[in-house]
Amino acid sequence: MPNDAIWVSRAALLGDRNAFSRLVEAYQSPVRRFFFHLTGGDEELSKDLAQDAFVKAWLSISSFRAAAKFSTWLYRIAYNVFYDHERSKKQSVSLDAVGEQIPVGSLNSDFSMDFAVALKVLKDDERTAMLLFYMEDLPVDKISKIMNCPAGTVKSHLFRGKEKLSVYFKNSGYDK
Amino acid sequence: MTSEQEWKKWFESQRADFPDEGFSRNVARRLPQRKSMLPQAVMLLCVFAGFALTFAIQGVMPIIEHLYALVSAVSQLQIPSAASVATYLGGVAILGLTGFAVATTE
Repeated sequence: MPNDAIWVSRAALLGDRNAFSRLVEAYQSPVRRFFFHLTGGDEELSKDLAQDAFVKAWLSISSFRAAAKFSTWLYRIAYNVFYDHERSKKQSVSLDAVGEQIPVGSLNSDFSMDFAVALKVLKDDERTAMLLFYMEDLPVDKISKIMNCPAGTVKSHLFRGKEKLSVYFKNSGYDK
Repeated sequence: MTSEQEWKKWFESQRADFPDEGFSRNVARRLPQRKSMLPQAVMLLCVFAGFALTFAIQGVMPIIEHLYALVSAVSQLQIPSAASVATYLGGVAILGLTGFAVATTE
């Protein structure tokens, strides 16, 4: 967004809450969508996580460096919020395990794909990379900054993610 | 699904926009006070820069002259009636309260 720089600098330098609210309005939809798909379609949880992410962004906006795009920086915070949440859950069955347990036959008989169920087949990192790349249209170098890993690792997450989903589609009879 | 195009299409078909529905307002309400002194530092810096610029452009004398003129104008003021003092104080109080209300709502 072209006006980001103005709102970001006002929020960072002057502590302007209204300027930050403009940023929240501009980015609430992609950030909530990101959480929504990461959490397997839990709308309430994704709303709470998105609020946490924005509050964290507000508290640390002074550390934002203009070298990074604001959206990349915000996604990085969102990514960390999600992983902190996953760690704090301390549940015996991780999301990955749930994904592995999903029986192929749980899909509707007319093969209409349940997006959330399909994404659960992937590991957290693979799901994050796939969502940022295909849904949010972010390039690999930006995703590597968000996920704090080399671009090669992001590419292999994407490759493995596609591979797993392809197998899943094939087994579920969705593959055309 | 084999091509990149197909993957993109599949993800985009699931891409929905989330309406705000008070979300931004809730976030704004939850924003805590920042502990950073940066905003105050920036404002202080701007004030000093303003003074420095004024001194650099005009020099010190015109400012002293203006201050002198202001002090002498104030000293020559007639003591106004009690009613106008009350009106003046009332106006100042309203302005102060308005400023306070604006500052606290932000």
